[in-house]
Amino acid sequence: MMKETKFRQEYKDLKIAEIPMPEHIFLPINGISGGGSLKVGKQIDKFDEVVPGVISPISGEIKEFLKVYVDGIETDVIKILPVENGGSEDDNDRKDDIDESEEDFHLKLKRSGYFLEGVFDSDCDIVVSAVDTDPLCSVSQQLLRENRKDLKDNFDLFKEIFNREKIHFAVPEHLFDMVWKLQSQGVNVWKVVPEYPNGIPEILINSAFEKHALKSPLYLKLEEFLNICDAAVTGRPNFEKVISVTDINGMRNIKVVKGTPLNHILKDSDIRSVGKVITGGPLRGYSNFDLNTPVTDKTDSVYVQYEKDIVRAVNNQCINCGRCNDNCPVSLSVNLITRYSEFSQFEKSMELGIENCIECGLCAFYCPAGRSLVQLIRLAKSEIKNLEGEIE
Amino acid sequence: MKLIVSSPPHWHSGSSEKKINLDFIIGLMPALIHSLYFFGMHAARVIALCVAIAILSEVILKKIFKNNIGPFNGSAVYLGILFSMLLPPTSPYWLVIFGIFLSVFIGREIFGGIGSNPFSPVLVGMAILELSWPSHLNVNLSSVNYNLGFDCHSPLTALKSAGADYTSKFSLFELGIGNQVGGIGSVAIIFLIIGGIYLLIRKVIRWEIPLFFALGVIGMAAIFRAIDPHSFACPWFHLLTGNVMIGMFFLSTDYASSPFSNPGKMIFGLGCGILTVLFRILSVHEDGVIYAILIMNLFTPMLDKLVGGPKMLKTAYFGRGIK
Repeated sequence: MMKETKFRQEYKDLKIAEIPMPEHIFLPINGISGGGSLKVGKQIDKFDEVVPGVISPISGEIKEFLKVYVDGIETDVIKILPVENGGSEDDNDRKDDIDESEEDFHLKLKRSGYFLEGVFDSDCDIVVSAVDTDPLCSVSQQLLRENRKDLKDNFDLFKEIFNREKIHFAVPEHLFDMVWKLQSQGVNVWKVVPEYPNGIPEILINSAFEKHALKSPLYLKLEEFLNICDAAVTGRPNFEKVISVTDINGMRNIKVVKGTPLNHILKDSDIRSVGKVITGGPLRGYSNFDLNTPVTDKTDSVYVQYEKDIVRAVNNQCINCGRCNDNCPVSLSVNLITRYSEFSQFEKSMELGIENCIECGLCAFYCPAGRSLVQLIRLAKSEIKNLEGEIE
Repeated sequence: MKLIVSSPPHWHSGSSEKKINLDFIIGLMPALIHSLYFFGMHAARVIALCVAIAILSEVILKKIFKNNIGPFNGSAVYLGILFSMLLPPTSPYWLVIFGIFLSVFIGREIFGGIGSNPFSPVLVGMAILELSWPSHLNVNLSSVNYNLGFDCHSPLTALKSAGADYTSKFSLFELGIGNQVGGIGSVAIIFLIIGGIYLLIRKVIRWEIPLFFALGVIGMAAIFRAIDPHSFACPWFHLLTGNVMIGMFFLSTDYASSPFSNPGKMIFGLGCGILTVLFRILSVHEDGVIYAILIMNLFTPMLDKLVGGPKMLKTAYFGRGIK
């Protein structure tokens, strides 16, 4: 393969720091109305029924209903002002429902917002990944470093809950020494080269699919895995998210309450002038236009780019050099697909397998003509979707 | 706070057309310096004229065709230098101007500019000149006024007129260091190899086309040699004479007119090599590299279909979907 730059995702030990509580948080909800005060762990109601998975991470007052953009999708949120010593939901009524017996993991998980019935019933292979998906993100490897002593217990618990004999665990090569002992304890440890795009779930699963004879694998990030284990024991959901914040001064890992707006994180990291605020890695991330965007489960990293580092969009003609094809992890003919897309021949790009594109961004990274290849692919994908909608 | 938004990726490798063309030009530098050493100002005249007319005609044609001229990317400079490497140092002014203009016009701009040309632009201009004014491109006649210090008899003319046994008079070492007559830079074999290795190291070109081009030439020539050693020259002779070396590294690797798929590149290179030897042995032309590559350019769209198609991703459902 012709690779000019390697995206090594090997980061040094950066302790996860806690940052002070923000002035307000934004909690994504789907269409509820009303107001009042909330306690930690309160399931948010939609008229009479409970909205699944929406649990207040802090206790406070609902101040406002508004719309923000999370990864480009318009989302309803509520603005909650925190109140000190607001009490917890565990203190009163909910406690009575929980069966005191240790074995009632299912109910505890359900209470914590994890609805995993499908996983309990099916015999899918569970793959836990400690390989970070994007460059400039060291959340998974840092959690592996900090939790390496508890991993064995967690895996044992997980196997018990889900009734599995074996769990697959993908770890970056440089941290393999920390966990190799797990291999003798019913955990199938994969060694993965920590280079983009090896950590992307699709690539990770497919590269090991044949080798480990996986059947309908279920992918879990290490953080999700730890949270599920935690929730199964305590019966309380996790309200915090670990994120990597990178700017010109380097990377730091912080733990924030879910729903913390980006401007609080920037203020805490003492970042004042910015060009782009990117959530989710420099190659696949979304550049935000609103700093009220809250941190969600999907936010792994925040990358702040200054004006001088920004790649300016140009759209030169394709020179057919073939670098995009050489670097495509799923071997697409990117040059043809994007030229079809450029000239509105979307059906032809569909014939070339455009639906396999995982939008890793490597084609546009290497393109010497500076073409916005990912954007052209997204255009073709959405146009194909529209066409299919019309046919139906 | 003013925020800038864009589609991902937010990083770029920093490669550009300008850098690629600069690398190509650097790759031609050893051969260019060799030609200046041998032919002096005569070579400089042809090279400078080619580059100037290439840039000028590109700008004028883009204006006429209402194409975006865009920032300077050096492609016309590279095209000019590469074209001049194939011409003899005694080429008249009008021939050089006409040839390079046709290269830019019929070879590239008429199809919409860089990246859209189905044929290597240099070869289109060169083929027209060779078919129209063969006497002006005769390398034996062009070298009579120079004292080059070696036999000014083109090895390929010798092969055509005097037969394979006569070619034993040329030592492979002499041919390899560029002591043969031909175009300004096209026979500086060792210098072109140095430039080609530079391009391979810089990953400007891939190894498939040069390697399989060489294998095609050697293989085809070896077959003929095995049939009758007295009628057909040895494979190394074919490899080290004429335009094969410049064709291998510079002419056939033109991005737009060569396949982008890697299996396609192998077949493309192999075809170029085989056709070169067939042209040399069976046709009236002394050197067939230009026509061989032009013919293989025709197959490029077909060869691109040989690419294996996308890797199908296995169905998997992911933890992010769990609620």
